[in-house]
Amino acid sequence: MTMTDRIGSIVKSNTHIDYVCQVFGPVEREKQPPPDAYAFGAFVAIALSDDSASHPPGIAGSPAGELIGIVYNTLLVNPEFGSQGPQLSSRAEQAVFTPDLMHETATLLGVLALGWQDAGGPRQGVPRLAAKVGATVRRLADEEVRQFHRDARERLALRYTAILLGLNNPLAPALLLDIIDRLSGLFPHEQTILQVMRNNVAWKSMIQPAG
Amino acid sequence: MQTFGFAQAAYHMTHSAIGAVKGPGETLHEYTFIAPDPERQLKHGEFVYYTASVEGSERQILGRISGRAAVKLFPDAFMAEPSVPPHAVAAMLGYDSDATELFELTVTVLGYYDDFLNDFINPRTPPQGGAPVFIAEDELLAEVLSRGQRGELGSAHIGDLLSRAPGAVPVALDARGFTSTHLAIIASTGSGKSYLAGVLLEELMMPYNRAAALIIDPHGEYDTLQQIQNLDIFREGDYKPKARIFRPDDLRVRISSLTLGDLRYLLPNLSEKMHYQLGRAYNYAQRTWGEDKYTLEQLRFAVRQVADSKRGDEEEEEDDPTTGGLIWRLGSALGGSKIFHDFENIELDELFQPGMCTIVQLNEVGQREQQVIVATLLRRVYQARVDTKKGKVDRGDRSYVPFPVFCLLEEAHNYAPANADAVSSDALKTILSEGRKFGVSVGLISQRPGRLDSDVLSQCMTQCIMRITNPIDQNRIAESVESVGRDLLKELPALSKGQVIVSGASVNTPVMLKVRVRHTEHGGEDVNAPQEWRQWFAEQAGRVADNALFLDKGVQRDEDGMLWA
Repeated sequence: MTMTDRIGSIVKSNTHIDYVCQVFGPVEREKQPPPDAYAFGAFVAIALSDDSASHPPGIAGSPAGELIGIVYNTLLVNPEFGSQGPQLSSRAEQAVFTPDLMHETATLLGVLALGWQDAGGPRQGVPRLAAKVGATVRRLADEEVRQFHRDARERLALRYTAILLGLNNPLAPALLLDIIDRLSGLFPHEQTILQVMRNNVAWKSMIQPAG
Repeated sequence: MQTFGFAQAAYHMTHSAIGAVKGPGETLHEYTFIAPDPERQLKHGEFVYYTASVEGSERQILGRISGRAAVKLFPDAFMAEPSVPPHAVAAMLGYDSDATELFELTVTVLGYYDDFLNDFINPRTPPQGGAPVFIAEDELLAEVLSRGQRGELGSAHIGDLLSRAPGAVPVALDARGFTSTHLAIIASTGSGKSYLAGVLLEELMMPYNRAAALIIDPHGEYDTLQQIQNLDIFREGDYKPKARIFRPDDLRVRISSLTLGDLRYLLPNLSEKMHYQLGRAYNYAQRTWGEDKYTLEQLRFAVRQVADSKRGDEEEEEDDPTTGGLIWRLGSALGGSKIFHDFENIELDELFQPGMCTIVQLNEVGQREQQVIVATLLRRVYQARVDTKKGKVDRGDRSYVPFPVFCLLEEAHNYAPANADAVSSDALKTILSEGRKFGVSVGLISQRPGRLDSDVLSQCMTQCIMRITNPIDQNRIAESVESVGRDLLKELPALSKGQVIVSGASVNTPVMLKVRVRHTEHGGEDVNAPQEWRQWFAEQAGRVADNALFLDKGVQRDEDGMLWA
């Protein structure tokens, strides 16, 4: 795992499976994570270990394992917004004299936990354990995404579909379609069954609402 | 008691329950139950039961499945791609269970079988919600569906229950039922009605029945029944059944045995005056020479005797168009026929004997003549039975028939047509309504129930109904056959060859059967035209080869193919 794989850390949660991750800013990391690492629909892992510093997150080093989730929302936080008043110094000067204020702008990610992985391997479903504030969030590699979507009998699994569609979020169908499209590339032999699923979701989210 | 019932129910539940009761059905004698039915056992017409306490004892309340509706199925969209089975999509979404379908089944309650009454008794005790429902065991069904067991006196094993494995539930009709209150076999062409009739006749000729049976065979397809004389299965001790065939050439009907109605029916296009004169001549003949004792010539003489113009000389009477026409018609209808004879008649003891199956072949006989033959035959045997029963005749009399008889009529719509007059209709109707008292019963076989007189059909208390697709015929069956439920009638177009719904007096409840294999060969096979056409060419080739031999011997052929030495 390279440093660029780390995206940010958990700052709060809305429900047991709905977490908010703050993307590392210039203060936390010198090198910012690339935007496509936390793009809409990106699979991420949230470390479950108590001490992420002594135990690097991941299956090997963390007996508690990780939650596996997906970026379903992005929120930009800017405290300055709406507080436009007379300014004595220019923006460039402000960066020099009050750097802390500048850092209060942040990118927040909505991360939905779709499963977890531990010594027993990856599993889809509602995780039993919850992550803690400050837990590191990292990008999941393609191979890990592939593993996550295989069940114990090596079949393609999309068991979180119901949770995703039950979110009552207008972006959920688009998110599911995005996942299916990505999985089609990862599972070339199972494209037909994914296509059935895609058509079903697409029909219900695109055609039926318009009809 | 109640606790015991539940304990027993729980025991059954773990062993063989196939569903659980949901609640009452639409009508009073229906209930519904829910079952996953992964093995597809719960077919339409299948028998199931629940247990209930009736008068202190646990009873199995039997019922027949009359409806099946899905309550849980895969979404249609899961079946969008034929190469992807819907359960694969479900498995991908995390639904791994095999329990993917759920059905609601409607059951028509028959009741429990009462050994004493030999019938089903509906206890009117509805099942409790959630009570287990069991599929009826083969042994139970074999016992309660048939009136008699296979091979017993008065049983006719015609086939096995359709919804079970072949041979698992043999069903035997009660021969006492249909040999007293009549039988109808209704089926469209090619669905196996002659085959079933053959099976029935075989059963009647078995050592345990030894019937006096006669079959009217207008197509000459029952002659294979002769084999019963040689098969061991039909023998027991000294008993060996006989089969006698009357071919059209052997048939004789004495002219004096024809009634006035028969004569009127046989003579074409009679005028009013001819009708009148024929009636007078008939009475004259009966008066002068006695009932059943005159010839065609004497009948002609009678016609001349009663002519209106018979006042003076002989010549004038021949000029009378009525007399001339009547005499000419008598000659043409009766004189030229081999069947109608001055003196000979087939005696009843030649036709009917216990342990004998008589086949009266009527192929090559005109339809009106067929009707008259059937009418005279039925009338004679009925009268003989009435006279014998009432003690009017004794042993030695020609019309002494001291045993019940059963007559099977193929193409029965020809002998009792709807919306048309046939001379045989009256004789048939008399037997259908009165025959039971005197031991004369008929079995009617027809492929067009729509063309069969509805009174006739409704008087047959045992019905064997095979595949019928024509909607007019289906409606006629629904009108005339009240013992078959609507749910079973829906099956009619879907039945295959050799499958039959039997209902009425000879079974305890309507059942769907697969007709058993005949012991004798089946005679009603269709002509294999393509095979015969090919054979013709093969024979033709042989003939050409033979002709070639002639050529070698100096035989020449001219342009037309004629051979010249």
